[in-house]
Amino acid sequence: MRTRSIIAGAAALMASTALIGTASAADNYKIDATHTNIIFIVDHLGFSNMIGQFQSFEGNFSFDGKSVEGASVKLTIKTASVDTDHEARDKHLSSPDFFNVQEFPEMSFTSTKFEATGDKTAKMTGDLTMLGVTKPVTLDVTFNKADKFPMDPNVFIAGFSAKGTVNRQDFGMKYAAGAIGDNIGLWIEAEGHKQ
Amino acid sequence: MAEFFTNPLVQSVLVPVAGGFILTGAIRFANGRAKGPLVAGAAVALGFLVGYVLIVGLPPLPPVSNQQKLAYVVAGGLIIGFLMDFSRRPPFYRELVYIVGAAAALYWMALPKIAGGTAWTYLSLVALWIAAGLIGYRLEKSRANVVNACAPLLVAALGLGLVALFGRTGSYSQLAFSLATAFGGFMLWNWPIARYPFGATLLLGGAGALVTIAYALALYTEASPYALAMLLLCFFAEPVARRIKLPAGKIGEAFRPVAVGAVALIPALAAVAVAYLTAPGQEAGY
Repeated sequence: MRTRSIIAGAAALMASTALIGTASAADNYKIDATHTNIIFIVDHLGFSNMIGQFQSFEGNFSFDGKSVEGASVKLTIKTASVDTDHEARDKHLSSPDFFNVQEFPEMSFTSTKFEATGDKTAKMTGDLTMLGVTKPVTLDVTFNKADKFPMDPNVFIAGFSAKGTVNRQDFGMKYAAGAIGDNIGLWIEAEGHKQ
Repeated sequence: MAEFFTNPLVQSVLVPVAGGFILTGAIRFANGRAKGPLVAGAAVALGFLVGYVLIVGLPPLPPVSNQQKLAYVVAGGLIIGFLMDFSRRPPFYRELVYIVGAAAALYWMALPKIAGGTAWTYLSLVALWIAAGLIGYRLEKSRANVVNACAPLLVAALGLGLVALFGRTGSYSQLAFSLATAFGGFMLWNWPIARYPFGATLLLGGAGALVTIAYALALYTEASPYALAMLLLCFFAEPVARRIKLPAGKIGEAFRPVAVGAVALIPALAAVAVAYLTAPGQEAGY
C-alpha cells in the first residue's frame, strides 16, 4: 500500500514538473510592426486583384519553438490604417460601405486552436472580430525561423507567414456584392521579438 | 434574375419608385375609403425598406452597425405613424412623437460617439436634433398640400444622396436615392390633385428616414457637414415659393408644388456643389 502511494506521488510530481516545463518553454513575442505586413487581396470586378494592407496594428504571440499545439496569437488592427496606395479609395474603404472605421475603429484576431500539418506548418483557427461580428477563421501558417538577430545577439526573433480567406459578407460587409469579391485573401508576414 | 436586383439603378430607383407607387394604391384600397387615404403614405417608408433590403440586406436583430439601426428606426416610425393615423390621433401627438423619436434615434445612432465624446460632440448632437426639429416644424407648416410637403423631402433626399456619394459612402447614397424615389412613387398619386394627407405615417416613416440617414452621414462618414447643413434650407422652400405668382385656380394649384420643388433645388444644388468641391481625394479621380 505504501509502495503504491509512493509510486503515485512520484508520478504526480513528474506530471506536474512536465506541465510546468511545457508552460515555461512557451516564449512570448511582441509583434514587430516594422517587419510585419497584414495584406488583403480582393477581386475588382473580375479584372484584377487589388492589394491593400493595414499600417497600424499591435499584437503578440507565444510559441515554444517545438510544438505548435500550445501556441497562441493575438492581433489588434486599427481599421483606419487601411492603405491601398490611393487616398480616395482608402477614404471609401474607411466608410460605412466597407470597414466603417468611425464606428468600428478596431478589428481583432485571437487564435483558439493550432493543428500541426507538417514540420513547420499548421492550421491556425481563431476568432476574427470585424464590424462588430465575430466569426471563426482558419489560416495556413508556416513557421519560418526563430533565432538571434544577427546584428544584436540580445534580440531573439521568431517569424511566420499565414494565409487564408475570409468571406466579407459573413461580417456584414455587403456593399457592391457581385462587383467587389466576397472572398478576401489574407496574407500575413510577421516577426516578433521575444519578451 | 438575382443579377437584375444587384444593379444599383434597380435597387435605388426602379424598385423604390415602383414600390412607392404600387404600395400607395394597395394600402389606400386595403384600408377602405375612410382610413385608406390617411395611411397611404406608409408606402414611402415601405418602398424605402424594400430598397434597403436590396441594397444592404436584411439587418440582424439586434443591429450591430448604424446602417442596420436605420432600418429599425424607419420600421418603428412607420408602425407608430401608421397606428396614429389609423386611430386618427390629433396632430399634437405626432409632433410630440416626432421630436421625442428624433432625440431617441439620435441617441441610439450616436451611442459609440457619446462614450468619450467631447463638448464638440455633444454640441453637434444638439445641433442635429434642432435640425430634425426644424424639418418637422417646416413640414407641419406646409402639410396643407401633401405634395408641397413632400417636394422638399424628395429634393433633400436627392441632395443627400449626392452629398453621400461625394463623401465616399455609396451605400448611404443609394439609400437616400431609394428614399427620394419612394417619395416620387407616392407623389405620382397626389399630383396634380392632392389625394392623401401628410400625416404621422409620412412624418415618422418618410421624414424620419431622411433625418436618420442625415444623422448617420453627419456622425460616421466624410460627408461635408456644410453641405448637410445647407440641405436644411430645402425645407424653407414653401414660404418662398408662395411669393411666386402663379395663375389662379386649379392650374396654379397644380404648379405650386413644382414651384416649391424648384425653390428647394437651389440650396440642394448648392449643397451638392459644396460636397463636390470639398470631397476627399476628389483630385485623384476615384
